[in-house]
Amino acid sequence: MKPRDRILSRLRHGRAASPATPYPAPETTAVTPSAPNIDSMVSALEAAHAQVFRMAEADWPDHLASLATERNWQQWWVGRDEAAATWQAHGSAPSVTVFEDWDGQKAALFDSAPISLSQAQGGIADTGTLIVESRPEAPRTLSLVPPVHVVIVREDSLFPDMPAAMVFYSRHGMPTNLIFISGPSKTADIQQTMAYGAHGPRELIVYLCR
Amino acid sequence: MNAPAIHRVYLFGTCLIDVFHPRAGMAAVRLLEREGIEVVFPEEQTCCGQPPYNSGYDDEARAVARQVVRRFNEPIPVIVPSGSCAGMLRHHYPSLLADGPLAEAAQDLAARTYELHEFLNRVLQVTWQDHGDPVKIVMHTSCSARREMGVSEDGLALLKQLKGVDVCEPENAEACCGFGGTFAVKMSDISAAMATDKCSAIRATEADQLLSSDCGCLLNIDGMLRKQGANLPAEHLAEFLWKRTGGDTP
Amino acid sequence: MSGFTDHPDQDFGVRIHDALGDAELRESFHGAMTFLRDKRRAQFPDADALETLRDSGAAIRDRALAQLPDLLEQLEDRCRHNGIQVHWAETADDANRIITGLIRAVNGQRIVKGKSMATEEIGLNTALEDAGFTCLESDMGEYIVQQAHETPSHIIMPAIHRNKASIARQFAEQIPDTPYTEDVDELIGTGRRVLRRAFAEADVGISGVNFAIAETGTLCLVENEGNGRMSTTVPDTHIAVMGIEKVIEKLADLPDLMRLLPRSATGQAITTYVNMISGPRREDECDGPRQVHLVLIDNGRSRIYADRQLRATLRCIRCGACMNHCPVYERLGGHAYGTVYPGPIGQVVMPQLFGLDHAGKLTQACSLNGACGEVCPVRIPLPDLIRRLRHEGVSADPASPVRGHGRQRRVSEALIWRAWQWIHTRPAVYRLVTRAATRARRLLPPLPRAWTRHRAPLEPAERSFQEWVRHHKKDHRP
Repeated sequence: MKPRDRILSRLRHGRAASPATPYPAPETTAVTPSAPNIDSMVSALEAAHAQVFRMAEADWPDHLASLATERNWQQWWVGRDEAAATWQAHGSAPSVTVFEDWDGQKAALFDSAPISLSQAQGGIADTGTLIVESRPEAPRTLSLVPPVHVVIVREDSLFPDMPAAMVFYSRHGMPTNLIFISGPSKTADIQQTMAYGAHGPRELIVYLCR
Repeated sequence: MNAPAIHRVYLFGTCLIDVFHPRAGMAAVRLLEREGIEVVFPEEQTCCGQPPYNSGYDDEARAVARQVVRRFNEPIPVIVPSGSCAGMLRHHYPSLLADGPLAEAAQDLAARTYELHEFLNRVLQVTWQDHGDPVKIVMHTSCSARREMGVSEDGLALLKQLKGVDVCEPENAEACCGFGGTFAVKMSDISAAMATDKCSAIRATEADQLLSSDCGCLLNIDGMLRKQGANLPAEHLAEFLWKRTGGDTP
Repeated sequence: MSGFTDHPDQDFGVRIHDALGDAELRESFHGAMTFLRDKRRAQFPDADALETLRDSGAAIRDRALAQLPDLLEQLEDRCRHNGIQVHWAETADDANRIITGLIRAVNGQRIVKGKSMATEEIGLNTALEDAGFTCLESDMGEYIVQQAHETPSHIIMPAIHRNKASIARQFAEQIPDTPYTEDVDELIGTGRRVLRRAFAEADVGISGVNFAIAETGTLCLVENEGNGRMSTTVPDTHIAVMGIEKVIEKLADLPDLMRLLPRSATGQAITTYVNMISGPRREDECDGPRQVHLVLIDNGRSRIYADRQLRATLRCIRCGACMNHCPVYERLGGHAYGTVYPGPIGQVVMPQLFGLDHAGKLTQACSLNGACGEVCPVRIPLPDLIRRLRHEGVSADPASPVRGHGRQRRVSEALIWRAWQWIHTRPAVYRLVTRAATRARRLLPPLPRAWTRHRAPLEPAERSFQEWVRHHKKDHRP
């Protein structure tokens, strides 16, 4: 017998030898609110040290351009998603690198990519969470490697809570990599002192668009 | 809500009260009798069986548990002036005796077991007048009373009826005092470390007196306080309540 | 004295003594535990809602365990369908052999690891070293601990026994061009700099798994730092390692477990990152691992599973709340246990993995105060299980399901309890004994020493309560 079969057989024997009634599920189940609470999205993200801007979708490029000037952000890294196209079309950024060749661009991404911009496919309002799916036009590492990450997310793409999000993915299937992001990277591993930018972005900037 | 009419109860005295704190047992009897209740004290009782049970010696504990279940068989409440012994009867007898002829009787006993102060406060809903001088006391609630029995509020509620009594709890009130039965002997250094912290928290309250409704904790904390030379007398809650509400020294 | 051992009973007393005598260590743990307890409490303001949520957590985990073999088959099937290769390991050695083989097969040279208790459990780092590989820990706490040749002292916060001054010294000594600083942002910046290089160059990433979802063949990994994402995204090969009990039935089971896990662990509503990995990169995707492997580890779990009561051990979601609330753990710290899993869950898991002859003594380091059971998000009855293992430790029953059962039995103690039973089932004898004890109270030797070393001697009352009751009854007889 293979290890797999021996393990499964031991489990089946064990179960048959001492059957047990599973712990009963509580009768009251959480009720999913029908509409996402935008305020809680904002406050949860802010509490997690993210910076949040709310505006009409058409307005974010101008706003981001002035923020970029103020912060002296010049070298942008993007994928081929909608936000990238809009940003490139806006034309205000001195340099926009499209990340599409892992082997050729990986070293540069790690060494000299100060800021990335990407679109989030959705969010979870009650925990202040961005939903980022891996897609051909949206590389996974863009939201991870550069120290500053700017995310565009639409209000109408938010789920009210995680159960609602799970219902969606159960129905529509999972992407190869689904990431929930609820703030910039952080750690409290040294004497319970919070520090941001442990391995991922130090700063997370969210444009929540109508 | 009217208190149901109860005229007779059993008292399970516990071995620690029997040998170390008889006054707590006397006070329990007096407090119940004052409410017009006949207290039945079966003479065949000894211990609830916790010491061997918590040490893993289930057979030895079971032998004693059987004796308790058989003897406390009338359908009247069983009152226990100790959270941990009450917890043993209520929560552990049913599983300890589950596979024998007394399974049902153990369930029945468990359902009518009460910690003394739980019974006074919730079932009898006693109301008292305070007869003592102003005093500040610090209350230590045992882990069994707090977690297993869920009666931590009852002792405090009774104390709060007493006008002259200023009640406080030590910092980290919910922390174990380090007694744990045989734990205090088998792992005496860890136990002592826990008791030391508990004693510091208790002394920091600058209370005049320490109360607890569990004799195990009292022996542990009081034993250490006395070794430290602290001037902080310790008493079982029942004895204190009896004296404050007009009872003579029993 | 901080290494893991497969015989934790050995020198347990020495480790306890050392831990209790280390004031700095006790200060570290007291501070950290208070901090974590306060943060958890703040996350659960509604006591009733918390109890309902714990019911749900227990039910979800129990339902998964009830279907465990079936869910594992479903998980394997869905993972394979998604392109994840599944491997089964019966023992820690088997798991290490499988993982080493996978690394050799891709000619792996640089290995990074995200935080994973399962890989600690199987001793993967040592096995890889023996095979000629170096595996760099990338969780900040694990990195600090690994660099100091220590082991984690807490399952969530591995470096919780260290203060920032000692970490500052370590970094300045061991990392080139690093000045001494106690500024935590700078210390983390140093770790980030070193580990970034390692991530960029790694060809194999190893991670644990918090939950595996059978419905979709998804590996779920929660973390705050991003090292989990790095380890599972950047290297060409990702090897995920998990105990077989971590499988859950469906995506819909995840939200309640996610409401419980980070809140119970670190008092966060949600972790910064929740990774849900359902396969290697697709042809049309730009990045992500080209191979994903899942190594399923039994390592004694199927034996635990065979006992109705002990099965609850396998509900554990490794949040660490039991140790954060354990008064013994708070005073000893994690290293004194000598085990990968310390604190209450360790006292339950380890004796079952190593046998009661090797780890039975761990169960004694518990006052049965119940704090662990009160906070466990999946309602593992930890005090009951500790008591049960104490029983198995002294049990003469040959049918006992736990390895090494009966090996904690000492003739002297067994005789004491036998005598205890003899006295306490004979009320007349009991009364004679208590009468003797009360009469001779001033003559009793101040025993036991373990008690009187720290406390005034026990002193029986002048008359027993039962004697008083007999007189009282006579007075009240009509």
